[in-house]
Amino acid sequence: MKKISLEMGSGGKLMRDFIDEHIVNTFSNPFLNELADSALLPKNLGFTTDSYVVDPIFFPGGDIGSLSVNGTVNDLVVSGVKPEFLSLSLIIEEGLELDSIKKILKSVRNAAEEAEVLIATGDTKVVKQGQGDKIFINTAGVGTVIARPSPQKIRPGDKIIATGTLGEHSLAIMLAREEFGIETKAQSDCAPLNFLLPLWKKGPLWMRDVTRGGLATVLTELSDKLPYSIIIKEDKIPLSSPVQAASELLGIDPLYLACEGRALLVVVEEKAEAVLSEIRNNKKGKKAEIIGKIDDKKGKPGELLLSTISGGLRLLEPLTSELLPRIC
Amino acid sequence: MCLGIPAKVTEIDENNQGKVDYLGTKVSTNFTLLEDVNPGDWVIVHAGFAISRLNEQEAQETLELIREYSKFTENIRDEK
Amino acid sequence: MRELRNKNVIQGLLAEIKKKSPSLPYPLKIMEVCGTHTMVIHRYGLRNMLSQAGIEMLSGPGCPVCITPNEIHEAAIKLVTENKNFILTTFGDMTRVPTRKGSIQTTVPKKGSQVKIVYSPFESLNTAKNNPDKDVVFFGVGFETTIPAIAVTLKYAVQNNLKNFSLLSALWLIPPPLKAIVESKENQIQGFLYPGHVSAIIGAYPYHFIPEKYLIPGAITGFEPGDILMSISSIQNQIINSKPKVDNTYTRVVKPNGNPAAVKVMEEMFQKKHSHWRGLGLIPNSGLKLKHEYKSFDAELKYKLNIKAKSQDLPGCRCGDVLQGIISPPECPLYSNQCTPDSPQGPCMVSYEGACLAYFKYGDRDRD
Repeated sequence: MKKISLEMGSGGKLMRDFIDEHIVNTFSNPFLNELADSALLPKNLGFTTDSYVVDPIFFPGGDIGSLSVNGTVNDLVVSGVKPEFLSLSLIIEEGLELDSIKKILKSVRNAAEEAEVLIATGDTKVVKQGQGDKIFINTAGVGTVIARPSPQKIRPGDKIIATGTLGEHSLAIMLAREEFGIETKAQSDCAPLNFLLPLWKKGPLWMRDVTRGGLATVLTELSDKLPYSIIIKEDKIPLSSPVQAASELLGIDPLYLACEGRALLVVVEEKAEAVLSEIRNNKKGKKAEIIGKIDDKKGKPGELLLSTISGGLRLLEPLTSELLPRIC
Repeated sequence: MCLGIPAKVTEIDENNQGKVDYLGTKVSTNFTLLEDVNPGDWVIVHAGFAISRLNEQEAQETLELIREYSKFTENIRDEK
Repeated sequence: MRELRNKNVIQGLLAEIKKKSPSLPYPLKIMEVCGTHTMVIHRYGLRNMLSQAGIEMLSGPGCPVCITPNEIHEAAIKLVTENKNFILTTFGDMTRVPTRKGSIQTTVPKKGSQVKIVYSPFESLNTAKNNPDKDVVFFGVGFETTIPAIAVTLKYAVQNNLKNFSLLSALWLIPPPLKAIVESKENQIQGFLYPGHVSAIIGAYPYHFIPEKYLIPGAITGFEPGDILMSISSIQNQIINSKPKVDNTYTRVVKPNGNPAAVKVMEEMFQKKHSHWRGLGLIPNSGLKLKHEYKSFDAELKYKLNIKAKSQDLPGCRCGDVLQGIISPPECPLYSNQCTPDSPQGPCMVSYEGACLAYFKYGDRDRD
């Protein structure tokens, strides 16, 4: 590949290859090489960064501002880090209305308050009209490590929990971009996952927020590293009516739709029900479900399998190319 | 591809344009390909067009037929 | 109708099918013609369960993304990359097809031009109305399920004299390739699942030649797992009773004479033409183009695209044989070697409904 292609940015195989070949090779160090959602540094520090290029910048249920806080906060939470401070870098295209900026900043503030983080530092740049698309945001987050995820302790029988209904962010973005003549109440699920932090001491071995590539991609990334298979049950996967309807209308598989406020947890078998109850006690986790388990009887090690509502079993593969560009 | 979903007509205007409801989601639909469509009718929607009606009686008969099969499975289990 | 996905129903139907299998050819080779059926079979994990019940499913040519020649995709890309103030409107699944010039999704439009994904051809019409200073082309791809919708759209365009709107068409008819398949000496298909929604338009009569002349059973089929299994069971019964016919298990939607109003508008706006099908070659009277009196709405003529569809794929590509059910995907020498989802060489690996892609993702790895 001589030039960067759009597909490379979609988070699929091309991006993974790019990261291995060019990022890891160039910077190799024990912190980076983990390629985890957050880097766990000495002195109990957790550190992460993300850039936000979502289009459109305003969508039902959120905007690029709230997204830039929640996305980064969630990367810390699922890595066992209590988020404390964020940096906020704005790259603004000449000509963007001041009202839009004010609205976005207000969203950032509200999201930061809800996630209990402070915007401690930042930067603002303006580029010529046509050289940036309205606004891009980068946030870096830092916090205290309160738990160490231990995926190496995962054993057959351990359960997978989804904290809520899936795919709403992708749907909200898709319909904000192209209406398709579809009217729905779907809103982005963009939200902070701080309510999961206390659970780290109560049974979870691993957490991941369900972003690009959806549930299927996130779980195959886990299953790839395990000497077991993962089986999820189709009838247990929480899906809202708008997502069900839109995915059948448009022929999209909801297992590949991204969220921005939902997580998957692997919890030791004995503690799964208790963890599920606690998640459901929080209003952001009301629709949580145990959707599957780690298995060593069906399938081959490393596989992610779906037990369909018709009683069949099928292999789920990670997404090779993005269904929609620029969703986060 | 032949993605067509069964949905209920909620509104239709004199230009044969209207909406259907599927699981609470409303879809803009054109009804030119069918005759005498009224709100409350069930149709199959493909690419924003209603291409056929859903015959409720036939649907009921199909459901009854397949329910026989689900009993069949339970019988097998009982026999075991 | 969700009961048609229900585990008990499916297991019950499978048991019934399995019971009959020993008195029939084993495995019984059935072709699902429609790409959406291919998708349903794989989505619900039916392939392996069926194979254990004695049924081998073969995917047919009813996948519009798969069989549209490269040259037509490239013409669409050319329109939006070489013209200013141009809007190319298209269905979403066409945008990911890789061509020698990249895909529609990754293409960089010329200044002032753009690609717009639509769910309905009507959105395309509205785009043209709302942008009178731009040229709008609808890349219309599909079978008889979609063609009437496109025909109605074109009729509106003609009646309202929308001069900035035109159609780049890749319109295909289902019965001709079926005829080619059953006439072929190498045909091994022992039963057909006819596409439910195409049949809602054209009815059952266009398939009658298959049981009448070639004695092959078949059933018009809906899109739930239960529909597919009911049809397979019907095909078995037709063989056991030596009474091949065109059965209809999708009676809740399909009438024997289809939707005459839809057929009428298709015939009003379009005429048949000989078309090249990717992987299958030239099939007479298998495609449609706008009638001569509507030529100002035909993008191919309006923009002098001069598309010479020869559908040349890589040497060794056996999509044609896969699409006719003569071989299964792993029997193609390129399958899983040079030809993978990330680097597809032929149409069968390209679309989500393509036989080879479905097989790669699910087929040989369905689990018991």
